[in-house]
Amino acid sequence: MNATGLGTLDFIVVAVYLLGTIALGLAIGWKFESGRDFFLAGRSLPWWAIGMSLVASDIGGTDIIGVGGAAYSFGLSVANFEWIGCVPAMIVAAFIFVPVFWRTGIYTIPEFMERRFNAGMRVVLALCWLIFMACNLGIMLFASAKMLAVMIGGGSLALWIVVTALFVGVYTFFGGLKAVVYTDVIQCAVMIAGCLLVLFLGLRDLGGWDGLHQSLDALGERTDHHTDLLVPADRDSPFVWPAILFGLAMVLSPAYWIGNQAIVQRSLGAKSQFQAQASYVWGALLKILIPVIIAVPGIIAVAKFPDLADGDQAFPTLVSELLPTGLRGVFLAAFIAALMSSVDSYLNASATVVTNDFYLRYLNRNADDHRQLVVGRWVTVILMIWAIFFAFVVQWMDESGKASGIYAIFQTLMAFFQGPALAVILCGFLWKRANGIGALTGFLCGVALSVSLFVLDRWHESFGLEPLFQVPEPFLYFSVWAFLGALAVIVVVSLITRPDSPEKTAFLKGETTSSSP
Amino acid sequence: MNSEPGITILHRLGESLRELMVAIPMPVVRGIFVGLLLLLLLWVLRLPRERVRPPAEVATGWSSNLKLWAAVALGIQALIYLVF
Repeated sequence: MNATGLGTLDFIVVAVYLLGTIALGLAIGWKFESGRDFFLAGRSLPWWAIGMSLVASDIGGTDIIGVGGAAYSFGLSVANFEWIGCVPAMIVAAFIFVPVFWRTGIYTIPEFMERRFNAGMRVVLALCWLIFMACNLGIMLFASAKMLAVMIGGGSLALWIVVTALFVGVYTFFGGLKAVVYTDVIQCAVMIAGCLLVLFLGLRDLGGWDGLHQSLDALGERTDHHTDLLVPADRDSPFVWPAILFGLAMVLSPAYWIGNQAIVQRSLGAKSQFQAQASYVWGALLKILIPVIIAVPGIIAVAKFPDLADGDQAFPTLVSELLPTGLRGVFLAAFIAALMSSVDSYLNASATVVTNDFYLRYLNRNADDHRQLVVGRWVTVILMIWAIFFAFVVQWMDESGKASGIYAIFQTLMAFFQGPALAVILCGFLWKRANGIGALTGFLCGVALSVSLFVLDRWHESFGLEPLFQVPEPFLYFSVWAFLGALAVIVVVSLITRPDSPEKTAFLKGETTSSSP
Repeated sequence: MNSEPGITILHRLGESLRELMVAIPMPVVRGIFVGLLLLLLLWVLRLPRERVRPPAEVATGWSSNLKLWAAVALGIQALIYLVF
């Protein structure tokens, strides 16, 4: 028996949805002739599609279950990740950073780093992103397969890993960024519809918002703060307000929306600079809705099923209890949509980084348009095979009990270099005196600082120390210190070394075509 | 100087910062969150026309003013942090 009680009609709904997605991806990719079509959708994307794609890519299948589960355990404070952890950074990005990225005609953020600083900065950042995205692809495949096996109630993990990879791989291989964005549009709509359904039926079952409050009140002290967004600094929660404000809102969120290749690449494929800006503002408006449809059902689950052993059971339990046959299929389609939209984004972004920042930069600078398309597609295949392999490695580690904390470690891995990357981008934009040697030294020192803090905190007993941080999984704090450390080193090293040539900053003002260095 | 086993200067620095954060009353914390959002809203409202609208040669109406939609997003955010 599956966790959500799916029937034949549900599977028909899911099959129709999946076949439609594949058909759309194939139809889009059939006419491609160049690498520019594959990596930047020929710069033809409209703002509304990019905005929906931004949101769909950011919410994975594991997030629907995980955020619902975190809301079940910790309450509404998890919504900070979608609200103050997204909206302000998206608005700032829309008016300051995205216009410059679009105007300069770059394909990747590391490419921007070379044009503003030097080739070393480009290689180091491209390597960081590539390692993170390639490993994360495997982890996403494994985590998604694990949840699919529970929700569908059959099939081995290996089967679901391969099936998911093939579905996503086929349309990303043919359709590149354009297929990723347009399938994300469908996935975003299906995801919102499926989760809205759970929210609406859940609230109706409890007698509306007032009924939800009454049910939570009846549970006593445990849910006293379940509808509070801001958690006091001394609470035993990873979402205390200083971590949210300084780590999430001021460092990780801007780093993600300004510097994450998988995110920014969409706006680079926009029809115009204005459309690229509009996509971010539209995405910010959509983001306001996300916690309402994902986190609030977790809180509804507390009120309805207060004794679940694990918060991650909250969403599947609600689905099986509230939704009739057929509509459960809509939710499963929403779940699959969410997981596919994240995997396809990281797959396409990884292929773009490998092709542009390594192949075209160091192996074949004169590759013609068709060659770029062919290479981009083959890199996609290789990355998909790698992701399947790494998913099996994670599965093996999980089954042999060696995967303890692996998800948290990879979350932390992103925090290691996101803070320093943000410091480099900010200095690159806002301070003309920042030079290449300063940026590279600052970035490396920032990463070294965050890794050192992580090691000292995680294995503190080996060093005979008390823990450095008093909250569980303090990755938000690592990013703050790494950002500040990198910023300080960039400033000092830039001031004591020779300035770069003026052309390193002049291109920020209005060049309209790409010219790979 | 009094030294405790397993405690370094990093621990002392972290503990001082933590105590500082714990001492801030939650209504003030709420004010900081809402205030930051309102400051950002003010910045958006003061952005020049050429940064929030399509080029002049493209005929557009009021709905093409990104300042308006960004202000709506930030206004809703400020309201949410004020209420919850």
